[in-house]
Amino acid sequence: MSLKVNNLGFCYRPESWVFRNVSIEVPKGGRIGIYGNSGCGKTTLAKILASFISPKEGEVVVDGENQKREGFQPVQLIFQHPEKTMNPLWRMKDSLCESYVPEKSLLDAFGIRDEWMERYPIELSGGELQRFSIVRALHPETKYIIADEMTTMLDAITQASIWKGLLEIVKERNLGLIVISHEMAIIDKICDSCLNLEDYCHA
Amino acid sequence: MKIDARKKVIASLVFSVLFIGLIIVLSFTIGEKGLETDHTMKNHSPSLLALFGTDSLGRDMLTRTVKGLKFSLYVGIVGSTLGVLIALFLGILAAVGGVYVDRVVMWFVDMFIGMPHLVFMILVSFAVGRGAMGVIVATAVTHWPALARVVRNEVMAIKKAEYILISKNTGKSRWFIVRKHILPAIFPQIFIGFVLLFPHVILHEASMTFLGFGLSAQQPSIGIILSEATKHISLGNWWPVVFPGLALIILVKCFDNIGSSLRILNNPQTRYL
Ligand SMILES: Nc1ncnc2c1ncn2[C@@H]1O[C@H](COP(=O)(O)OP(=O)(O)OP(=O)(O)O)[C@@H](O)[C@H]1O
Ligand SMILES: [Mg+2]
Repeated sequence: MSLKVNNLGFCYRPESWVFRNVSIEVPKGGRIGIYGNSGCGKTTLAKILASFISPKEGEVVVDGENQKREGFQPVQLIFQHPEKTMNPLWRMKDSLCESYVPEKSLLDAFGIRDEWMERYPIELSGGELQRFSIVRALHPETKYIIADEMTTMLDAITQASIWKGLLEIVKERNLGLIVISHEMAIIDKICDSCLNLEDYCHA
Repeated sequence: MKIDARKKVIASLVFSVLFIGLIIVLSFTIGEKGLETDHTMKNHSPSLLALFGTDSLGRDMLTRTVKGLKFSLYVGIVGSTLGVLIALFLGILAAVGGVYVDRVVMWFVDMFIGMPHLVFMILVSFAVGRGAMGVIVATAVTHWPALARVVRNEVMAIKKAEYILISKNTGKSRWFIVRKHILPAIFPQIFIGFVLLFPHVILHEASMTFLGFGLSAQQPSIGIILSEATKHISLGNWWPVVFPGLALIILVKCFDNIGSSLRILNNPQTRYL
């Protein structure tokens, strides 16, 4: 049981590869860190893994099956910028409960307050929004979580509390975790192994 | 937008809504009596007794005008609604149906845009059968293409939004996404498009009835009134042309005002300034 990537390559324009020949394997319950300079393709890789875009080369294999296009994706991505991940016309409770209704304990683990539920995304801070997007990604059928610069915009205390909440659940549910960050400190602390994406860059 | 400009826009919006409201109220409160021929009242020029004068059969022009506008509004509503529904369906289909569907639909849209409206409407009204039905169907099927293109472009722009991709990746169906995410987001555009369709539909309805397609001469409609009145204008009876014509122009302008005002108020670049 693992999230496996074989010889992955991607380019936005023909023959101008962002990266090539990337191979990673994240076992169930495993934690891998990915780092690299800004613009080296970390977010792009994350989007391919979570099936937001299709690779130009190579394949993504989830628990022994080729990645499917339709239906629920067991690899869920937590985005760098949570503002864009919420429908601006929906109240937070609608965005949160769009695909499943999270339990109260899950909300408490991330310090989501009841009073935020009736608000619209523009009425919350980035950190508050990010908690919602994390809980939304923790669908019962989720098997792997990718955290793309999940806490870069937050202060140290909030960062710590959000990571604590996420790691507890990852451990409890035995989820695979990919941490994308340019802060080596976070990766060192959380991950079993890490990978520098710049090694695969062709720019 | 300066405060003054904003006030102007809102004032023109309010005026237009009131004018249309007045016509609607009048059209339901004025009795049918003025539509009957009355040989004692032939060709009276405007007076307190008959504000818009009477025609060669002694019918009250104010009543006829208001009833004619009522028919225009009716055709306008049905025609615009149908037009908007067709535009919505084809626009969304083109945007979410993939490259080939998009090409086919857009080719279709271009073909319709290039076609002269009036000729096409006359053909359609012949095909459907004459009468009000012919006018309504003809106006509905000719006025969707421009709006369909707007809808398609709007949907193209928002379908790449992260929250929509996330919705898809948590297993939501296309239909769910269209209904819950896309339609509410494009609603302002649709509504403005709907209001701006009105003037076209109403004017085309008037042209068609003027040319004698569709309605029987007894049915009040601005086009029929105008075509009858032109026969008598050489006698110096100016009122059966001027008043209904003016009323039609003001009505059309009102819808145009509402649409443009809403567009200005809804435009993010002018909304808050
Ligand atoms: N939609 C796009 N179309 C074309 N090029 C793109 C697109 N998105 C990203 N790129 C380019 O691909 C490269 C990788 O972008 P990506 O967002 O994956 O970088 P990143 O490693 O996540 O950077 P950061 O650390 O700043 O978030 C960049 O050079 C970027 O300019
Ligand atoms: Mg990034």
